[in-house]
Amino acid sequence: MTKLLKNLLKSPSFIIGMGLFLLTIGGALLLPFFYHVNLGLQASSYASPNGKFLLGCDHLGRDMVSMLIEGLRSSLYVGLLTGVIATTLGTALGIYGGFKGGWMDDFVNLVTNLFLVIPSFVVLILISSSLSKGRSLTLIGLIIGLTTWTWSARAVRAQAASLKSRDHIALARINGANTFRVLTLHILPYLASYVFMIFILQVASGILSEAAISMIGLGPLDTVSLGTILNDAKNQGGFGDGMWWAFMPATVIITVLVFALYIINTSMEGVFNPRLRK
Amino acid sequence: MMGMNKFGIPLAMMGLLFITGCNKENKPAGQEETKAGGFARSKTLYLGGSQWGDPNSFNPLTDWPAWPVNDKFNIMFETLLAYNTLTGKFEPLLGTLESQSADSVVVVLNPAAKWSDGQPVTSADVKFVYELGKRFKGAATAYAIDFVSDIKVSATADKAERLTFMVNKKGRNNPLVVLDFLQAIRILPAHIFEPKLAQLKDLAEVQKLKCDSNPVVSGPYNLETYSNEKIILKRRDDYWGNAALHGGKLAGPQFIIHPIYKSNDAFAIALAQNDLDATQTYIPRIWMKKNAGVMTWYDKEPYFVPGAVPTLLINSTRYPLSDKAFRRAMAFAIDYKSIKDLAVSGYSPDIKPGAIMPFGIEAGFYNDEDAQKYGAAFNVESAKKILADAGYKSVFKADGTLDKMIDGKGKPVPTLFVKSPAGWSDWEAIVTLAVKGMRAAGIDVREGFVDAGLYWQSQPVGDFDLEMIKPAASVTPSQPWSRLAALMSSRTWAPPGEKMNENQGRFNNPKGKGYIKAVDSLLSVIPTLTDKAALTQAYRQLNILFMQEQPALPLCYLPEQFYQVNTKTWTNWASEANPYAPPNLPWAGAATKMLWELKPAK
Repeated sequence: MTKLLKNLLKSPSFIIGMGLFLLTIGGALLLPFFYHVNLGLQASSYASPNGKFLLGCDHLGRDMVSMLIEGLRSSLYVGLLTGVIATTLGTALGIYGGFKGGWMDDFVNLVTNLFLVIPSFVVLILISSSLSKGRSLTLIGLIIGLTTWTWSARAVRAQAASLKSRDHIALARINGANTFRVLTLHILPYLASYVFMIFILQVASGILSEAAISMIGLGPLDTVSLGTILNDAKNQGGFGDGMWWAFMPATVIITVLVFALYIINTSMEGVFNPRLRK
Repeated sequence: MMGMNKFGIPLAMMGLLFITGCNKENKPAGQEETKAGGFARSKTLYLGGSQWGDPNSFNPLTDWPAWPVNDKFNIMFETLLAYNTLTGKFEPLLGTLESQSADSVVVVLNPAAKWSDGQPVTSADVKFVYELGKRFKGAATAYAIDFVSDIKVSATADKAERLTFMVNKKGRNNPLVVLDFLQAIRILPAHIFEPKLAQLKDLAEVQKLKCDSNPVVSGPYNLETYSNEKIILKRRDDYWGNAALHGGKLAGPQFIIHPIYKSNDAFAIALAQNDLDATQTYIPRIWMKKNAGVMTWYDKEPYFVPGAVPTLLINSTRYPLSDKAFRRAMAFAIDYKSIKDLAVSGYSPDIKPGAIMPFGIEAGFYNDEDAQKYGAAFNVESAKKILADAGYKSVFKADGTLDKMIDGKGKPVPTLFVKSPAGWSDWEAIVTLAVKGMRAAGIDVREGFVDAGLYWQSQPVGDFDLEMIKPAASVTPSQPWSRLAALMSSRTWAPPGEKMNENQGRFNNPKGKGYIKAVDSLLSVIPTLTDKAALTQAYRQLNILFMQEQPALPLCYLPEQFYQVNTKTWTNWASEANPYAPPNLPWAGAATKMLWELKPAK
């Protein structure tokens, strides 16, 4: 484990990715201690950046820096929620199906394929047209998580299937280990690095999905997220009137955050995968 | 590893944002056509904001035909009279207003009026539309028979037809609404529709016809072609009104094209790029588009002529909204100035208490003394005091935000939601600010943005705590009566779950405790009053009752239509400096005459 970590730390792209990621997380978690986050109405509509409001204000005169901190927290929350749900669900189903094989595997595959073709957008539109109390950030995270676990399931299933004929599994079986024990103690550890990389990708895709969904106006209605900031900029004419502070910082933060996660993923693959290891 | 390009998504996302940010959305259809030469830009007027969905039908007998056969548009099918929303006066169209009284309204048909197939427009056409409800319950104009008992036809000295619309005394007895009809109900060619009705035997069958191929119309333009992207009208050079109403001139634009975009921002960008000549959509910070040639009625705040009142309708059947004190506290808690400045770009004059506008056509019915005495203006302390006096207690969290409310009996007050359509950007901002104000005063209210479909469903059945509406949003001869009726009338009171088309907040249950009879008596007597002093007095009383009872929360004044035009292709638009036509787009009411005054820009 320490060796792996050492190898990781030797990879410059991992350092860059991790650095960027920690920077954004740090921004979300620590900045509120140094910066007074205030989402109240403080200035005129789209006040431009000045000494008091470093990144200007939004259409309602709310401080953009506060909005971005709040938005970043929301986006990270959705990303992590999505990542946990999608990875847990996908790994559990994939590992079980892949290991069991037979009709069980076919069934899991069927369910996976079924979910694979349901776009989260459609689910969101349907849900938002039936919920009168509106959409919350958690609901958005849940929906994204519950509709994007499929590719983790597929990837894990393939790996689990290749592991099931290994000798140590047969030994564990002879020793009387039940399926649950085999899966958790003898297969999952082999896939841990792999699952972790899936998790990172799921977090990234969760953040992007939230931004995309919010941008077209289907985002959370009770919270500020990076996506809703972009949606407001679009709806309130921020793009057309050249209010760069209304959309540029949020765009940059999303890009940096997701970019960091993807670099982490790639660099980890380079370290974990023996064939790619230098 | 996942078979997915790892950098693809973030790069594509970034790219998308840059494209939308800098290249200003997808190219509107107009520009390509100019290049293709199909409709020369200099001969075409591009108008927007009145058709959002796919145009399904141009049949004027259906309930929801496409532009310009719907709403108060009169460039294909015309109304008897045109209403000038600026002066409050009628102007001649198919007919001329001769006289009006509490019993009847008299209109003389213009003998020159002709259909596009050469047939004259006659009293038979008028009677056909107004009396269709006597034959078919499902007629779109069936409501007319409750208001007009009969149309008597006589001849004038110069052999024109004189139509006397008899007010239905046994029905609604409302001459005001009859006046509304004259400028809203489009006259249709009976000689075209009667044979169709005879042939198909049923109105429902006739309503299925699309009427989209060379329809017989009386107006200055006719449908040329349409698709899901645009509706194209072509000028009728043989229009009867050219000689009879416009001194022999032809209307300026040869074509009128209404492109169908999906969102307000697309219209805003198209207008700034001169791909649209006018749009009635909400565009924030219109003054920033001045350099692009965009002009509004006033060239400074409020930019537009107020005509409608975005209002929070209160469901009076739900606790604690059933409590008058609670409703009044809400009215005191809202920062109307911030709504005006931040949510609607300053497009509203400062709001006054009550439901009557203090300026324009309604100014005479507004009384400032009453407003001072009975009305609620923004004052957080007053709001808090009213709540405390009524026994409500607000519990705030450590960070100063509202946690919950407890009523006089120690029971928690449920969180109230403001229902408003998601994506209506100006309304979203208005609601956000209203909620902010009320929460700061300790009232537990939240935004409840919902899908537009859900919003429309909830309205007639009263399925809301608070709901954003624009009561009687058109500027018509019956204002402000129609707005007050829309907010307060118990004439058709029905319990929540059943449909109501006015007072959907179900204020003043006629069978309930504390029913205020005066509200309904005033609402039924006002339309019949002809004495100016009595009328003013009645409006005063009604507005006082509104302020005392606060059945709804008017939030700001917005125009009936956002009148914003680009002067780069067409000039000589009406404006404050040149008010020859009212501030409507040149396809509605008396604003249509602008079409004859527009001149191509050099």
